[in-house]
Amino acid sequence: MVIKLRMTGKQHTTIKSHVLAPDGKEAGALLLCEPVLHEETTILLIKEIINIPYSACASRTPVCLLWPTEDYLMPQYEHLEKECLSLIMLHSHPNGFNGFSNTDNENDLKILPRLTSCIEGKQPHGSAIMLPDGSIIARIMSESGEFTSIDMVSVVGDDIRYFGDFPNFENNTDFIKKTEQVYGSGTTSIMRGLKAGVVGCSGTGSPTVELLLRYHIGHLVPIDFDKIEEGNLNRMLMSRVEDADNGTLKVDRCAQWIEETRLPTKVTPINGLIPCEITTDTLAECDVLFGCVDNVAARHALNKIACAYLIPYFDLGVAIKEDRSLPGSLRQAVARCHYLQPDQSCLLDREAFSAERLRDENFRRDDPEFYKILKELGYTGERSDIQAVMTLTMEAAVMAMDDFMARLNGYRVVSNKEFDEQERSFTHGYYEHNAHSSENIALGIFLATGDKHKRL
Amino acid sequence: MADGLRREFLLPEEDIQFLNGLGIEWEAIQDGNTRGVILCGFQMPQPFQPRKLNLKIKVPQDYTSGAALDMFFTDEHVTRSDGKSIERLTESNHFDNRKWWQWSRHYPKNTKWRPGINTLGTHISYIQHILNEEARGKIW
Repeated sequence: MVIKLRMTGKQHTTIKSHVLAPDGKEAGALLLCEPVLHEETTILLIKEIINIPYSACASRTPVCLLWPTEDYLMPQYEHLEKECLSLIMLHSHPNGFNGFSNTDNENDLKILPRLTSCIEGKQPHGSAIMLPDGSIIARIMSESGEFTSIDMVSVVGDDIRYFGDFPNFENNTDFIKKTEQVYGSGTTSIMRGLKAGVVGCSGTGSPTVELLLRYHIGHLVPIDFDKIEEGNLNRMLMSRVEDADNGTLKVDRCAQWIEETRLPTKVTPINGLIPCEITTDTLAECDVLFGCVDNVAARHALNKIACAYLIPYFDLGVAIKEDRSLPGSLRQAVARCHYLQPDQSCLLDREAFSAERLRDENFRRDDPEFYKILKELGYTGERSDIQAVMTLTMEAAVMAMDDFMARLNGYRVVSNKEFDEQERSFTHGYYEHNAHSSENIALGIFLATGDKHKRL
Repeated sequence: MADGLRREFLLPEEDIQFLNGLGIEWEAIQDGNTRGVILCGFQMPQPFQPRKLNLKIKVPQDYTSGAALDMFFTDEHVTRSDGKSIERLTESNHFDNRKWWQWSRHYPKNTKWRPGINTLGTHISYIQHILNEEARGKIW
């Protein structure tokens, strides 16, 4: 069983600014989490944070915190039960002690077993510690009072952080050392512990897969519904003429390629559409998502999944416009990458596509007969038939991978906030990057809703 | 809710309140992958004939997450008692085992659907506005 705790950058800041108190004493907060209970993975998504006022605590010192009495906590229990939420009781260790102390164990044993028996439902409850650098260690407790570590705590903000016991390499090969020379051993060992979902395995997807593989990603989940055709051979890495002749599934060729390299990346190919039950459930368990698809309904669906399960999402794309009067002559060719945070503006908010376009794509998918009528009446925008070429698709993949590494590693000399959208024009010779700072309007209701988002 | 009225997909609470406030019966019907909200016995203004009919709004799957609404449909062919013709009224495809007529009434070119602000309620108000204007002779 893998257990994960996820939060947004804003939530992390809220917790940090309260529990790392100015007086240097321990402080606490209640994290109310939406539980996602899958067969082999449990994910807790922070929905609400209740900072415990310093004055409400029974006692606070630099090395000890006594939580308020049950009378104070009781009203929260009711709320937890009604919404079937999990509770994580977090407190700080301002002195930097990197573990649960005996006092912590005693405190947890006083509160958590009672909580577990009071609250109906099979969702787990637990505790967590924040250290002065903002890192978090966490655990859940079984009904019988046994603690189990939470394997990974992630923070999706302008910076992306993953906390956990990531593997250290004793006998490092040159394969890993070369990357460590650039990003350091911390970053490479985190990469080894991550599961990445790549949706779309052709133009922008296949170079993204290649980059993740060479950057030591632990587990890759390529997703695509399509077969390799001759028209993909101009831009899908790994594709061969025989794959087009045989109509090999893109994900199968992709997985085969990864296995052929014999590099230590696990691969789980999924042949499916976005969204559907199996792809959604698989993506929910990924720690980072790369959207390498061109249709807006799928991009929107991925954006929604990333919001619902608090996952960082990179949306890759290319746009080519030709001069209609002169076929083969380019007017504009750009490679683009959006970085989307669950609680910040979504693609629709950013006008990456319009609400009207999303509607038409919905009809094209769900009601083709009606879409045909719309098309005949001239109400739909013509979809461009121009396919991308590899310089563009690889550029989009490079921008996405670099953005991910920068947010993970922190190597940029300017703020990561300024890179929410990147665009490079091959025709106009510019590279631009900018911030998109607004609330998530269109997808806000799905934030941290987990599997419940399917019923909204 | 009156007996037998179908609620086959979920709508935001705000929309349900708006629909209930209309004072007529309504249904939310899922037919295969397509969805529609049907206003039962919708009152058409003079001089449209018939005066009462069922009016449908097609609801795209992503409506709750921001996809726009557009146009409307009626399950009867409508005429005007003043003999004038009705523009851009065409036969559309079947839904819920019924034939529908499509009223291609779109938002003006510079009016964009704004997620979070535009809703089923604002769309129905827009339809009512268009029908009243059209009844008075304005061509949309």
